[in-house]
Amino acid sequence: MRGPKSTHQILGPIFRSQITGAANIARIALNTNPAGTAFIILGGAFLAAYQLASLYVDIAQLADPIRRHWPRIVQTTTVLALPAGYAIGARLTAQAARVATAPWLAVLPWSERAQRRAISQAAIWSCAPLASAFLGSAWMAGLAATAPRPLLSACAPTAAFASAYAAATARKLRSAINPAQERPRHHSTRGPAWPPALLLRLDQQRPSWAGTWAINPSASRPALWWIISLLLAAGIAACITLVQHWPWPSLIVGIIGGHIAFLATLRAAPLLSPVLRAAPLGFATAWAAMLRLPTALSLCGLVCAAPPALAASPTAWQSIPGVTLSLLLLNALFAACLATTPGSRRQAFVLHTLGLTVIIQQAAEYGLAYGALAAMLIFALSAFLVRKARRRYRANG
Amino acid sequence: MAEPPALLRAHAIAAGYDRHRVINAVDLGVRSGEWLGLLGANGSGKSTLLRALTGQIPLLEGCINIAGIDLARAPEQAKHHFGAAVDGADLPQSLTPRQYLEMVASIRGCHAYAWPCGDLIAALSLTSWMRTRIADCSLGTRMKVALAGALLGGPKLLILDESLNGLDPVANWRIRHILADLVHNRGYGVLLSSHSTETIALACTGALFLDDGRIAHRWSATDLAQGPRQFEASVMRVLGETIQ
Repeated sequence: MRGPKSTHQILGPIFRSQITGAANIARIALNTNPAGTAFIILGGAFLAAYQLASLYVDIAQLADPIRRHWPRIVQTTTVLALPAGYAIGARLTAQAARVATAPWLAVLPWSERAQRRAISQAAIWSCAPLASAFLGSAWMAGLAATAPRPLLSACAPTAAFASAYAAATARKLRSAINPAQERPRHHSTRGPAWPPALLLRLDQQRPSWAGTWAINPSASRPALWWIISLLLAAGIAACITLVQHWPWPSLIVGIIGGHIAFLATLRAAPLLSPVLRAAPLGFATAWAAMLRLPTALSLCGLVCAAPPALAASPTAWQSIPGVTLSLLLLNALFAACLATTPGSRRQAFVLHTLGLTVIIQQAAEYGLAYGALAAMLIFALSAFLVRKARRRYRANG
Repeated sequence: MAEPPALLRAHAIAAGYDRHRVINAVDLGVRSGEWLGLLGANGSGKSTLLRALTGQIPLLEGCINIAGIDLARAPEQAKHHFGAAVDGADLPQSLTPRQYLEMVASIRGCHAYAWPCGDLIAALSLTSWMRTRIADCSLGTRMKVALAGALLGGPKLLILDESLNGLDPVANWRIRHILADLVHNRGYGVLLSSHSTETIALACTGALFLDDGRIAHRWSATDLAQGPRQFEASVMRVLGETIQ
């Protein structure tokens, strides 16, 4: 017996859940009157169109060097498309599998084969628009640079993206349904083992354990491949630093690693929990307590990267305050984004990525002063939004 | 004889989500030595009312005073005067009960085992669960942890949202007796929402029936003293009238 009449029936709930999630995020984000909503949508569309046109003009201006290096650019894009396709494929397939194996569906009498087919169909439906967008962007870039055979050149990275996506889907499909590979539910009879006990000592100031709660040990325990990738990147950066007597590779990996640690650990911050909102505790105190432990973990990443930099160039210590400040500013940007949208960490990630992209783009195109100005404007916007979040937290305040 | 002081006074309050009103024109009060039960059908607005009373959602109208302090004007001071037992699903799942209680105690500025009624951990048989993550605890254990958190520091007003659900009979009996002792002998006040007419008849000194966000009926201590069976019949009559 197949249970649900056909596999396409599962696509409905999967896509509905995606659309409902996106709609909920948009509803919370655009919690304003219709004129404000129209302003945000039209303004956003205008800005996006402006950025695309600006990118097109930039590529056209750089047409000569792009044409000269076109084969290498295509090769590099193809190589980069592989991890991107794999990561996106793994994420979207996992999401589809979560819906397809939800308890309300798991109790229905439908076959594992039908379940598998439904998840793969959902993955294909998600991949098709992404691959088309990828192909279109690469083709347009080729056209703008008047590169030779732009469509054919765009096909190689798109094929790499799609293959990596398919590989990730196949791998996730096996682990999502096969009960033999299903890990037993972790049943801890001890306190949280992550983060390490040494760092937990930092979390006993008033209010105690808020940082541990924000970190959510079960969700943020780093996966082995993440640890290996970071160690590998740190190792390569340390080698380059020591061989070239140039401290920056290690310091940059330290900033990126520290910031990833902060993003990964703060994503579960429960600012809207009734435990906090019904307690005699202000928004700022609660948020500061939530930030304590993730910030410490983040700075640990930087501390690990400092010795090779100092060994390579003793004058590197002069850069360390600036590097630390940069890391703290990056962390503060994400903390502000998350504080503006405490109910949706996905929205916070989107805001943070957009903000960073704008800052980097402005700094790269017009110089550091414009990058700093963009950062200040983003912080001012965040401060305005945090006021709204504070009102939601306090409700009566 | 002077009336006991009001621990909670809600005057003509309206609250809801976005612009939609879920509760409307609700007046209620809990005095020292009172245990008020809150009854109502599913979706009648009980949890919304308790969220408004604990300062989790804003008021659209009216005002709430906790021990004489306006909750809207001074939320942090007002919240020092009540303990709310949150739903088990809202507890910090990644912490252990011990860490949760330490967190609540640190916010309230008291010792992590400062209950007004002796060792609540032992009384509720929580000892073996204190180092287990809350996510791995059963529904009943989580409710016990939430109750222990509400009582920490001895706030005079306790706001309990279906907090006796899921407790085993022994724990249910013990916590009812602990709360009754606090209310009748120590001047505490309790507001308890529940679907159990028996619990309300046995424990409470007054009860309210909430229907469609409004108070549809009130029972006095004399009404409740007639026993669980009479009270259940009375609730059914009110329920029938509201449906009609």
